Amino acid sequence: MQEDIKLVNRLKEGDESAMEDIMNLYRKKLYYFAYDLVGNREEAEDLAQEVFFKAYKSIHNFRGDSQLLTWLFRIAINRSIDYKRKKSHWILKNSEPVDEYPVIHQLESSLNNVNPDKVLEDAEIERNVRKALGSLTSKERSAFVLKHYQDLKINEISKIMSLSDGTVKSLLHRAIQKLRKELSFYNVPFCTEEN
Amino acid sequence: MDSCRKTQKKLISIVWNELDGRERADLLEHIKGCPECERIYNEMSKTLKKMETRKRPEPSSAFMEKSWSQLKQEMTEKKGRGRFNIPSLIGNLSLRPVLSPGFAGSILILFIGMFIGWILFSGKPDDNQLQIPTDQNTGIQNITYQERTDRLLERSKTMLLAFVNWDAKTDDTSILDLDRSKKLSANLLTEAVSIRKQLPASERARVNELITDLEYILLQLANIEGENDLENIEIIQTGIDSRGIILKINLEEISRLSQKQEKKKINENTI
Repeated sequence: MQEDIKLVNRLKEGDESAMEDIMNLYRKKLYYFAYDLVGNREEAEDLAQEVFFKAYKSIHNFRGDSQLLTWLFRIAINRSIDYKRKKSHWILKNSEPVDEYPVIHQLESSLNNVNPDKVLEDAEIERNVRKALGSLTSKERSAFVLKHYQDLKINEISKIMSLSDGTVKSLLHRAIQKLRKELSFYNVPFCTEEN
Repeated sequence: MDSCRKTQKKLISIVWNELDGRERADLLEHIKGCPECERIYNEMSKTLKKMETRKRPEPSSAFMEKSWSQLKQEMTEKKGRGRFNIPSLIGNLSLRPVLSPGFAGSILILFIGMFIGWILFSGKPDDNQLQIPTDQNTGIQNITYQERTDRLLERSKTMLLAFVNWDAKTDDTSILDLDRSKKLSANLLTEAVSIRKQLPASERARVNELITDLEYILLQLANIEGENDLENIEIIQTGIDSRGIILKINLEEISRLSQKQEKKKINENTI
């Protein structure tokens, strides 16, 4: 938190290298968050980049009453809704996601010593998880991703999403129910996991 | 019954460890002794476990290495857009101390000169643009990326529509003018690859997807073997249909048109 405030103050004073430090600190985390929201690597990178630019432009609005990363998440959620509006279809619901093959290639390159079956299985799991996330509404997905992958408290999520704690709990509840339904269909890879 | 309702209401907080102490212990004890609450709790936990066993793709190295330089460029452009804000320009250049009536007069004369120049020569760039040579291979003028993409989509759509509407039972292949279509496809393919390489970050995902689909079809078209290659023509027709390319092009054209109109409005408002 102290580190965030120092960086923001430097940026507000016109030290642009502070923006580079902010990006170095949060680039990966923001990318993964964006990826969970849009379900596609290229779009996640574009979204993360857009968030950083938006943050730079409106840094004077950051009051320091939350962590910088949660402020970035808030921007990302708002921008991702714009993304959805712009698009004629929602990539997560697509039967064949655009970056299907990059996922496989990447897994192959990062897991050189691993069994190819395992690589394919991982890719299959990832595809199923993305599809399951795609079955959620924007709000359900945002709440779920913030809770499950970013490990934020319910009251933090409610602040980011400008909702009450009760509404966030309802969103999470509905999200789990939908995910359970979606994932029950894809049992094969997960059975292997559980065994 | 009441304790079941109370427990199920708090399951979200239990599965994500948001409760501690006595309350958590009490609820877990109830879950252990209640088959229905235990079932729901187990299902929730299992679902969350499934959502955890995943490997998301790493960000690309370009994103990791170049995102800062890209942002820096955008930051510079943003500053550039505000360059006619004279007080901030003077402030940034630390010229305030030397600002004098004589200096202000010079600046004023400079701007009047620029204004007269703009009035006199503003038509010139358009004249030049008309003379930009046409690329001999593609027949597409070497103009802006936006215009090149518009031309690519328009010409591809016209050609693909001819193939989509062609009926093997009633039409002759001569209608398709296959020799010309093959040459045009090869040229458009070159242009598509060139445009895709230069895609700006803001358009990368959407246009990239469309152009990649288009490249696939253009490649097949360029490889048609002859007028009797009906099998390939059918494959191409199916490809255009299954990838929804005409629809995608139409959507992209609509989107581009609305972007242009928005830009025009902004420009008019700025003026």
